[in-house]
This record gives sequence, structure tokens and C-alpha cells, in this order.
Amino acid sequence: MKSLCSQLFVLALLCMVTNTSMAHHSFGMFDINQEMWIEGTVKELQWNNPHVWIQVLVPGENDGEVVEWSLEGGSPNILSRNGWNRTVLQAGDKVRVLIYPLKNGKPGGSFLEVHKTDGSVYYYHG
Amino acid sequence: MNTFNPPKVVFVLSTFLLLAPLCFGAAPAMPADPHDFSGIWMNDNTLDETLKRLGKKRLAPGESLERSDARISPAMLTDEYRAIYTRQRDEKAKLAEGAAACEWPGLANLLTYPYPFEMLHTNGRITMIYETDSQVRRIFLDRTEHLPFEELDPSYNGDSIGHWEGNVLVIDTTGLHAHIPLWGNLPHSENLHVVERIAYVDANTIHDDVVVTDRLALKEPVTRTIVYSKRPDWRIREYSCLENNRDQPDAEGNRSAGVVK
Repeated sequence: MKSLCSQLFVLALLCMVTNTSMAHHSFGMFDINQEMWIEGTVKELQWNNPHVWIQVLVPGENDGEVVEWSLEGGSPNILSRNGWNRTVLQAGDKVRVLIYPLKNGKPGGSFLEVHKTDGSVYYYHG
Repeated sequence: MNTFNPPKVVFVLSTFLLLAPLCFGAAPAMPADPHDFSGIWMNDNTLDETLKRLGKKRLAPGESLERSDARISPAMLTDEYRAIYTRQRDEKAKLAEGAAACEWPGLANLLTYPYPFEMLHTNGRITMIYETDSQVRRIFLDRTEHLPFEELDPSYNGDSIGHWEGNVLVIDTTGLHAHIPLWGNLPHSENLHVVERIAYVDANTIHDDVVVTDRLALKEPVTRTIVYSKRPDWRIREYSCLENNRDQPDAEGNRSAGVVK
């Protein structure tokens, strides 16, 4: 019975859901059919509206090369309700980040989850 | 032989009473005062809220959730406004994907934005303070008529008057800007008329049944029910689209995608 109720509840939710990634623009520039990991060092967490940005320095293909990636997420409003605050990422933190990359191949993307070396994980959603 | 067995009857009745709510649906608890919407409310159907209910952190690659506005389509527009829709869509297609100016969302989209709002009751008025761009709606309960035409300047959230029909708060709004689209990017005229019927469905949930009409732009009313849940432990934060908009399109409508050059 509970299983049936749960299934009906989920079905009802799926019928009602709204795509509200929308804010001032869509996230259409990101390839949501592709997930990729990047690994690097946090340069800066820009904790502000309309969207949070994490600047991550990632070793490039050539010796000594460093590429700065710009990773966009939700607003501080949404992220703060998912366990984030302005201090969770500091310059120098080593991170692994799961992203939807930019469709145009530039070093940017939309972050989904951020793993720190202390084992803590910060998710965009949930 | 007497087959009446009181303990057995009590057991069967008790079991039935326990299971009945599962079979027929339990009557939800209602608030002590159904005319009091004080508190903080959140749109239940945002992507973030839905993923939380599903226990998921993200959608699978390529996965999408069915949109509640999926049935809202340009077919609802009159010929004149369908032509406007097509022209606006073609103009927008010249810009980079997803490019849009920072602008207040307007009443219809304000109702479905992914941010909470607070409702306050004061004498003759209900005030709704939104996290979205710090928008404010004032619902006048002490007026039965809209502002006269000469004072009804078109605005993002319009002129709203309200009254009670039983436990239902009925809000009637006119005076809305024509340049802010409806859901689904549908254009509309200044004749847009929005009627909302807000009521509790249980102590922590309200429904806003919205009916949008426009005799010039819409062939038929656009209807939608928006579900809000009470969030007593949330605080309303500030949200401004203009604070650090690294993805603002340039003069040609190109987006930098926020990438450092």
C-alpha cells in the first residue's frame, strides 16, 4: 500500500513539476546530456546573485599551464537552503567538481556537486 | 451456535478504521483560522523542491521533468497575438541561446518563480513580500473597485483587490504591463485580467487557482493551479538579478557565459 501511495505521489509530482532553473536566463548554454569532472584549486567563490560562481584553477595540458574555469550554480538563496554558505569554499581549497560543461567548449560549466578533500560534499540541489 | 464474538468484532472494526484513511484518503488537518495566511510560503513545484521530494540530487543526463505549463501554447492566442508571438520568437532566436535581460518577472511568472514569499495581514490589506527581486504585492480588501483608468498606470504586478468567498481569498488583478510575457512567453495586451482563488487544502498547504483572461490576446482562459507549502523555518533573503550578472548579454545579444578571458 505504502509503495503504491509513494508511486502515485511521485507520479503526481512529475505531472505538476515546473522547470524553474529559469531565473534571469536559461541554462541552455550548458550541455545537460554530458557530465564531466574537473579537479583543481578554488581561486574564488563569488557568493552573490543572481547566480553563484566558483572560479577553479585547473592544470592544463601543457607543463605549468593553468586554466581558469568558471562554474555557475544557483542563487545563494537556493544554495543556502541546500547546506551552503559564503564560507564553505575558500581560496586554495582542493576540489573535484561535477559539472555540465559549456556547449561551446570554453572552460566553464554549471556545477552539480563539489567534493572537498575533507570529505564534505556540496550539492546544487537537494 | 452463537457466532457473535465481541473481541473479534472490535478487532475487525479497529483494523478497518486504521486502514480506512489509506483506502479513502485521510481528511487533512485544516488550520485553526482558514482566513489567516500569515507566514512564509514556497512554490512546491520548482526543480529544487521536486528533486528533494524525489530524494535526488540532480536529473540524469538528458532527463527532464514534465512541465506544469506544458499545455500552455501559442495555439491559445488570437491570430493577431500569435503573429506577435512568432515575431518576438524570431527576434529572440537571433540572440545567444537563453539570453535575457534582468527584468522583474511580472505577476504571472512571479507566482511560479523558485523563491518563497511572506504573507502579512494588516487592516484592510494583505501584503505579499517576495524573495524574487524583492517584489511586493498589495491586495486591497478595503476596495471593491479597481483604480480608475486615469490612475491605473500599467505596472509589473498590477492593481489587486480582494475579497473572501467563504474560506477562499479571491484576488482580482488588472493594470498589468503588456511588455512582460505570460507563462510560455505568450504575449498579452493591457486587457490582461488575472483572478486568483487562494485557499488552504491542509494546515500547511494552499492552492492558488489562477484564471488568466485577455479578450484581445487569448482565445480561451489560461488556467493553472499553483501549490505552495508553508515554511515556518525559512527566512526571506535578498535576491537581485543585477547584483553580479556575469552573463548579461552584450549589445548584440551575445552571452559571455561568465568565462574569464
